[in-house]
Amino acid sequence: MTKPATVRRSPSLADRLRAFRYQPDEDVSFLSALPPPTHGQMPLAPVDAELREYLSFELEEATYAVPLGAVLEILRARLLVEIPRAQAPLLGVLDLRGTVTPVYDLGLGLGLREHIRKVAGPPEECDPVPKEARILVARTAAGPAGMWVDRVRDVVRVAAASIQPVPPGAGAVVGRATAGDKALLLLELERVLR
Amino acid sequence: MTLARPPEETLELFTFSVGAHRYAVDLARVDEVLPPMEVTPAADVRAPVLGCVQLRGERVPVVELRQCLRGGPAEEGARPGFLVCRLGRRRVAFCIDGVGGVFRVGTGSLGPRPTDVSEAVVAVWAQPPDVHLLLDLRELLRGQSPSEAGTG
Repeated sequence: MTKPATVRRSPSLADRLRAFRYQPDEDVSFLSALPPPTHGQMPLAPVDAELREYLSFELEEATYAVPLGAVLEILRARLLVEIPRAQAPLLGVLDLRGTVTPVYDLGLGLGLREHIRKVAGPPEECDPVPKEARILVARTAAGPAGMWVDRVRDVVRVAAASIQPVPPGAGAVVGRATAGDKALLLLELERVLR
Repeated sequence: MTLARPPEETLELFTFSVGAHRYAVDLARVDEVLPPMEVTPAADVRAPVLGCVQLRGERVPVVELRQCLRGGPAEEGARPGFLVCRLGRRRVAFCIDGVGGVFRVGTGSLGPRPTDVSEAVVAVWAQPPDVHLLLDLRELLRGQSPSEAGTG
């Protein structure tokens, strides 16, 4: 007797999108052919033992940090394209490989500065751009956005359990942590832009 | 009576280019984007795996995405880099020619995948003048493994 042919159902869009979305427990057994990671797989650690990576930077003498995963690029600070009647803390925009990206004065957004720096428009009317200033391009709900900071320090790993809460009303600062001898103020960038 | 539409699902896409084509992956997969780094050859690896890079003490395999996608050469002005993605609990770095951006899109705005492309393409998303191919990276690599050869 002839065995009936097996008809392979073509995956629906919903099936394909399910596979498209990242799931930490998704099957990747086929990756065994790839070189094994030095430290084994990413740990299945409980949240409290989790190490989180942050990019630290300086603003007005204090050290802040944002989740490394939110940072898309770090650019040397440069003069920006002026937006007429832009509202602080928007400094201006830059052309990031064809994408118009807003750049904000993070110090002003955090209330560390009183006056917005003049870094957009005709060069002769702008403040000098400090050599160590950088623009962190971060992902936000509204798309990539640049944050002007005084100086980038380094990438630090912080145990989630060691993050100390801050009292209500701390604005965009969502926690405190220490890295070496430095106190870090952990920021949620979306809150700065609200 | 008007029937309320069910709320539309949204996806957060990270877009990038390889050759003349634009692609997108789930933003949740993206760990970081790095400038090109020196790749250390590893034993027993075969194309499209180029070798490994050391990322903060972790050895991460590097995959030549152009080869997986049979893509053409980088366009003029390309800014190549490594797109480090999560696959399950592993990290894999993919060579790309440039970063696009991050976009939140409704699934209703996606178009059906063309029939003549890799099974790893799950749908298309148009952002005129560009069309992005949404990539299932697991399917893409599964199609490269010796036991699955020919299924991609």
